[in-house]
Amino acid sequence: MSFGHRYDVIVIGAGHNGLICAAYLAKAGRRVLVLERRHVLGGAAVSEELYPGFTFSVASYVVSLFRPHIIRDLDLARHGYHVIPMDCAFQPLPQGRGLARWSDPDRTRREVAHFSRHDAEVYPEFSLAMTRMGLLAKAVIDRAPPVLGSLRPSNVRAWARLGRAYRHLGPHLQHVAQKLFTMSAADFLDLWFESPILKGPLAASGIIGTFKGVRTPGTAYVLLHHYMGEIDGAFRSWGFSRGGTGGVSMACARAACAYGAEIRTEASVSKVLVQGGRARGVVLDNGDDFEAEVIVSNLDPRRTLEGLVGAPHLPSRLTEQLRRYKYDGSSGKVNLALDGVPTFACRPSVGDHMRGDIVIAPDVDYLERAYDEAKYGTWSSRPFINAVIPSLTDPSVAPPGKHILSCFVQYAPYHLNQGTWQEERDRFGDAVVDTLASYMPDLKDRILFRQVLTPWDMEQQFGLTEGNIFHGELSLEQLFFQRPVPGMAHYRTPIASLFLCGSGTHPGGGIMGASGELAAKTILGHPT
Amino acid sequence: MSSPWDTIVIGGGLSGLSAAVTLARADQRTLLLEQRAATGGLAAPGRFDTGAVAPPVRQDNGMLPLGLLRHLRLAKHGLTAKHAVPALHVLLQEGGCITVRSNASQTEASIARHHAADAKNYRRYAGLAQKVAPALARLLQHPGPANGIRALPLILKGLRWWKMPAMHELLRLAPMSAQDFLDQWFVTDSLKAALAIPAFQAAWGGPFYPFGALHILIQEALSSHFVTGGMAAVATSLERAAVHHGVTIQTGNRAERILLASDGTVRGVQLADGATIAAPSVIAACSPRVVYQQLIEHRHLDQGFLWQARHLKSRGTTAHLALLLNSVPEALAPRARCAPGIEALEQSFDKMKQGEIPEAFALEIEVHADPPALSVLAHFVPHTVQGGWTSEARRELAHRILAPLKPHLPGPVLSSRLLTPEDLELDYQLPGGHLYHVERSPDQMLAQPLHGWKPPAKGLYLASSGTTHGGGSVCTSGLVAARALLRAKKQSRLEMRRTRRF
Repeated sequence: MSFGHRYDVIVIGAGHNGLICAAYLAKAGRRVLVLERRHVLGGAAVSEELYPGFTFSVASYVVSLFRPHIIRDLDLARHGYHVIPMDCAFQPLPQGRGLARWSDPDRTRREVAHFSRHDAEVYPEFSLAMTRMGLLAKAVIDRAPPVLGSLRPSNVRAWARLGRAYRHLGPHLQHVAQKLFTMSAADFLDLWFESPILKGPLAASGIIGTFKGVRTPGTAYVLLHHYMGEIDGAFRSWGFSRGGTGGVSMACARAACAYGAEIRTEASVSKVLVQGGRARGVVLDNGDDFEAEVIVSNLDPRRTLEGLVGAPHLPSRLTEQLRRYKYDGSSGKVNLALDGVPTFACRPSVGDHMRGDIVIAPDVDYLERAYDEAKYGTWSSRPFINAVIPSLTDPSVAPPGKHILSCFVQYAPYHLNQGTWQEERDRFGDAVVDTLASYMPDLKDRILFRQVLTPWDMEQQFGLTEGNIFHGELSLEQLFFQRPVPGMAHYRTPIASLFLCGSGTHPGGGIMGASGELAAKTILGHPT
Repeated sequence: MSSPWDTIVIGGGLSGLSAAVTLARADQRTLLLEQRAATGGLAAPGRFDTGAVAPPVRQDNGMLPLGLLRHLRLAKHGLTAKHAVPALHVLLQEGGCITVRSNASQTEASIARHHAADAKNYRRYAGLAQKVAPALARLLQHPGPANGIRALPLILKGLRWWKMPAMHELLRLAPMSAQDFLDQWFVTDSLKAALAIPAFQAAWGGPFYPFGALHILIQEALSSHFVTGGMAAVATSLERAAVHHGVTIQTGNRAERILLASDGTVRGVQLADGATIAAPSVIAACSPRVVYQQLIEHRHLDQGFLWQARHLKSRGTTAHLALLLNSVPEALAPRARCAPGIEALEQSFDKMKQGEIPEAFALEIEVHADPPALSVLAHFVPHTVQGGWTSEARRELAHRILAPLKPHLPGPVLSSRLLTPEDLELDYQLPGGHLYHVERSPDQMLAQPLHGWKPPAKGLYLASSGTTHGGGSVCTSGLVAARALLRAKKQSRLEMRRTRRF
């Protein structure tokens, strides 16, 4: 077979992980080609001008877990990576002033004290415990996972490293860690707090992107994501990327190009060519073909292996495992262009509380009810909403005086028991706007444009199977050395020279970049 | 301080009795305090209004460790173990019945009458349970101390880390929900729901909740040794053994407080009437929540420990209904399960969460012959129903539990006895009303210091369903605690001798 072009490495999909992987490989001197199906780069971390003058972070909307050493390694700051920290998480309430949690602990304590003196006293203790736990989690996410049963020195060392990090916690925090990794978010918070109003928004961060309720075991550890974030060395903060989350992807793309990688858009890969158990190259929809020593896929495991490689090349056990791998997308997105700042009934001023996360999760039962509705296949009529107004912090994304309200909404199950998402999309969007409008009475009059993304839309637009934003459910049996499936956790696949670098590999989820980096290091044979 | 007793055992349930027997056999002067009128705890038979004997709350789940029965020499006291697993009838929602037997091909044939593919997959499912059984048995039933570095060889042996595929399989399956787990094999909805029942008893959660698979696997893997006469027979033989070995049993006598010296050493027990009994060691065979929240003064506990103890979860969602009948219902004998289907059960769970009585329940049924009676465990029943458990609410609950069983009963129900989770809490001193004392959720399975291995006071040991070895696999915890106590005594004797010599 003769190929049109030869490369060392082809990366399929230009999501942030694909671009980071390409950048690392190009930096190491490989000839890299990145192929992207869409006309824009970034995958789900993308900025698009959906309405004239408004730049939306269409899917992924905040940045926190992006690994700081990747920024240094790839010199991303020089390529335009700029994240503005968020100062506040605000929870409006039907009555009273709502609850705002600030990065200043003292200010948070005062706010919490309005609801419970006990909780205000415990809050710093909770934050400290979680921050210590975050250090343990960082030991997990910054390296490729050790596997069970291998006595290779590197593997034994990796386990020993984790053991040390665990021992370092001390007896009390070890118990907290055991609970954290097995309990539900609501139960875990019950250990500390009494006020349902504080527990609501805290618990909500345990369910983002998963199809589980706040009382479902295994959601507590997701709370950690809020204590692991680093921006400019400041621990545990989230932020907006300047110019939308696409800005992060563009910085990665520029870095990759600067190191010599080639990126082609509107180049949809239809097939990975496999010969003799090795991946030899790829074929595009338009018939072009490219040859490469190594192929890396930024797509999710099912799309890569079943879609591009094809079941005949795979062991039957793996096909079975891939079939069982859970996606179950559960979230939607509503993006609004507004002709002014909406006002909260409970705190009418345009203040700092609006510049951060706005969480609609009034209490734990509200969240559990939203889940109870969704688990039988209907979208939540009163959903959990995590909204941001990035234009207050980064005026470049909207025309002067105008604003963007970007809402992450849960639950919107991919599999509806009645109707299709095309039929339900607008009603779902209405429910979200209605819910928000009950806290922001003037919202409806200010809407210039509305985009509703259901899990089905996300599958169509971004190639996220079943609309799962993390390329597969983050449940315990699909994490760590079992992500995506046991025996395939090292970015490798049964096809020699075909690798995975997407969110469906360890550590998975969020704009972290760790999957891309660790995949590149695996390919280069560097210790991870 | 001289005392007529070496050890006081608080609680005369199966764990307390096993602990007392073990101690008495080692020539310890043992006093057993039971607050109820008779020993046996949840395994003690009750009474119907008519005066007839009612079956006990605890059903035989086949998880009595055989070696332990042998160790306690219960055969000498009238207990016979059955090696064959008795048949289990699964009443299907769409009519008909599947009979699960220990013989896989007979089960297969029974399922095949309803669904061919399910029948074929049953063999794979049963094979899986057998594959992981040794690992689980070692981890959960091994009556040894397991603490820190000493536990390592045990755990490695239990995990059989050289058999990686089985281990990987277990790690992948255990966190799954009952639904995801059973969907891998079966299509018949009410069969899946019936197989999922062990998950509901162990921890708070419906069929969609993670870790259901772990509990199902534990039950499938460890359920092997049933006894003639059910759990009441175990209680009777244990009591006989205790009396035989010289244990003094005081029923109707409730311990109010465990007395500790200022250095945290056990001094004795204070009773409800204010009297005190001195003893250098105590085995608390009651709910850990009772121990840490009522029996011990908090000033004796470390802050971090207290924090954990205060948050032990024990949300009971199971009610017990005993029915007195004319004759034995052959269609259900010796045991049966009945559940409406996975999704319907999850809906029941949601109802229960909101404090309402669900329409349909997952039922575990045990048939008793003398007198003809049924013991029915129903999941999910709220601990406190909206408006309280009025006689109307209780009637409604009993009626709904009974509805799917009616067609299988040979005659009218002569008498019934209903225990809601709230009743269980009050009658048996089970805070929260959970049958395993505390939920057997993974976070609590791991909480070792709370569960007896490392007691918070010198001379105090915990033994009950609420400890690490408890929960379904009854008796083991009593034996573990008694052995730990005897070992500590031996050690201190040796030390004393040594100090005297020098």
